[in-house]
Amino acid sequence: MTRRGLLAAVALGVAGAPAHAQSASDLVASGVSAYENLELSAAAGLLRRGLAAGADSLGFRDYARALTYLGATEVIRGNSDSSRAAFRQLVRHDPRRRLDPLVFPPEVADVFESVRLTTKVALVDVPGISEFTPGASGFRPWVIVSSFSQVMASIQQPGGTVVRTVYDGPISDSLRLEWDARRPDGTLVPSGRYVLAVQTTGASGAVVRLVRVPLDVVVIPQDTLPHPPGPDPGALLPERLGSGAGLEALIGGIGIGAAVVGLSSSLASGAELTAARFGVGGAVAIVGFVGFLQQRPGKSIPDNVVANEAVRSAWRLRVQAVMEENRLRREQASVTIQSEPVQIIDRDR
Amino acid sequence: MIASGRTACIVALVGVIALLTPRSATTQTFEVGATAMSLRLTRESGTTATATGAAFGIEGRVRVQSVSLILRYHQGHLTGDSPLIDQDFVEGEAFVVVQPARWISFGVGPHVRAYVEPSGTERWLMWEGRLRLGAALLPAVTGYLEGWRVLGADLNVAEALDSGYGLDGGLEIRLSGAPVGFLLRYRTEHAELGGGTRRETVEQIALGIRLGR
Repeated sequence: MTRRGLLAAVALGVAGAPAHAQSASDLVASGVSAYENLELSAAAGLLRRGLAAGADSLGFRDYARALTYLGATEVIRGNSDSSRAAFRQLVRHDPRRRLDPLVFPPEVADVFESVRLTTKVALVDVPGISEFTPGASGFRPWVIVSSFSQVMASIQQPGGTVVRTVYDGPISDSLRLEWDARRPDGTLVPSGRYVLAVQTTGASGAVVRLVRVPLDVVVIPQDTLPHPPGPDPGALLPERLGSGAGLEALIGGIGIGAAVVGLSSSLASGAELTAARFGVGGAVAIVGFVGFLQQRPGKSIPDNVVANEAVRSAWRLRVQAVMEENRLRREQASVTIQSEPVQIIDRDR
Repeated sequence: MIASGRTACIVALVGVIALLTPRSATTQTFEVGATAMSLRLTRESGTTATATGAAFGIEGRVRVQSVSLILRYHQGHLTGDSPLIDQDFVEGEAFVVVQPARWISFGVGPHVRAYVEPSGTERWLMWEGRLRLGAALLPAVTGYLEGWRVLGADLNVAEALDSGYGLDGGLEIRLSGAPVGFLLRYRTEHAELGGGTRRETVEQIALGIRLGR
C-alpha cells in the first residue's frame, strides 16, 4: 500500500464510528429538503431510512423532526393511516410537540392536532437528585401531557403497593407535582427503593401510558432525645408517716413525763417537793400522747404529698418538652431522592 | 470536796465527742431568751427550813454545727421560814454542749450560785457534767430530760460538798419558721454537804421565751 493510501485508510477508520449517525441525520436532512421541494416519495423514503436508525442514534430532536416531516409528507400524499401513525409516534416521543403553522399547511396541522388530541400520553421530567427537608420542600417531578388527560401519579413500593397518591385528576398541559416523603398519615417513609408511577388514561378509561421512575429514597432523621428519667423514688418525700415519729412522741412523752415525776422524787429524797413536777410531767406526757395521735403510723402527710406532686408535675413537663422537641426533630429529617432512568410503557401500541 | 481529776476527764470526753461528731453542713444558730421562775429552797441541817420566791433571768445560746455554748443567768429573792432568813438568790451557768445526734447531747461547764444575806454571801462554784435526751413530741414541740452531776466544787462555806446532782425536764415549743419559741421547765437540784449534816434541794418551775433561729 502506498503512503497516500495508508493515510486515507486511517482517515476512514477514525471517521468510521460517527459516519453511521451522521448519515442518518443526513438522510433526515435530505428528506426534509425533498419535502420542501415537493419530492414527496423521495422525502418519505429518505425520512423512513433515517428513522430506521432509531431515536437513540438520531437524537431526540432529529427523531422528532423526521417524524414531523414524515407525517406531513404522508398527509400531502394522501396516506392518512401512515400520516396518523407517524404523528402518533411523534406525540408519544414528544408530547410537547406543536406544528409551526408558518411551516406546515393547515391540512397537515389539522391531522396532527386530531392525532394529538386523541393520543393521551404523558412524559415525566424528574430531577436527578433532590435533597430537601420535609415541610420546607419536596421531591418535585414535572408531568407534561400531550393533551387534556386524566393522570394519576403515585409513589409505590417496588411490588406495586401504593404508598401515597400524589395526584389524581385532569391535566391540560403540564403540572408540577410535589411529594414530601410522607405517607398520608404524615409519617415519613423509611429509606428504601420506591417508584414514581404516572399513568395516563385514554378516553375509554383504559391506561394508555405508564411512566415509571425508580427512586432511591434516603431518609436521615435527626437524633431524638431520650425521655428524662422519672423522679428518683429515694428523692421523694414519704407521703405516709412511718411508725418512728408516733412512737418517738409516745415513748418520749410518757418517758420524760414519768422521769420528771419519779426521778425528781427519788433525787431529792427526804425533801418535800411541790406538785409542780406533776404538772410539768403530766403536760409532757399528754403532749407526747397527742403527738402519737397526730403522727400515728400510716397517716397521710399532706405537705409531702403536695411537694412530691410538684416534683412529678415538673417531670411530666420535662417529658412533654422532650416529646415536643422530638416531634420537631422528626419533622426536620433530611431526605435525599435519587431518580433512575425513566421507563415508559405504552399499552395501545 | 469532789475530786477535780474527774472534771478534767469529763471535759476531755466532751472534747473528744465534739471532734468525732460528723459535720455534714455548716449550721449556725443564735438564740436569746428571758425566763421567769418560781423557786423553792429546802435546807436540812438538823432542822428543815424552806424559802420560796421568784427569779427572773436571761439566757443565750450560740450553736456552730453540733457544738453549742449555753449561758444562763437569773436572780431573785427568797422569803424564808426560820431558821432561813430572807435573802437574794443569784445563779449563773455556762456550758459547752456537744450534740452528736438529734436526740442526745453532752455538756460540761461551771454552775455558780450565791445566797446573799445581810451577814455575808455564800458562794457555790460547781463543775457539772450533763446528759440531755430529747424527743420530738409534735412537729413544733420537743420534750427533753436533762440530768447532771457535780464533778468538782468550790464553796465558801464550812461544809464540803459531798455530792450534787440534778434533773431538768420540760417542753420546748418552736413553731415552724417562727423566730420565737417558748419553754416550760421543771428542775430539781440536790446537794449534800458535810458528810450528810447539810442537805439542800432547789426546786424550780420556769416559763421562758426565746428569740432567734
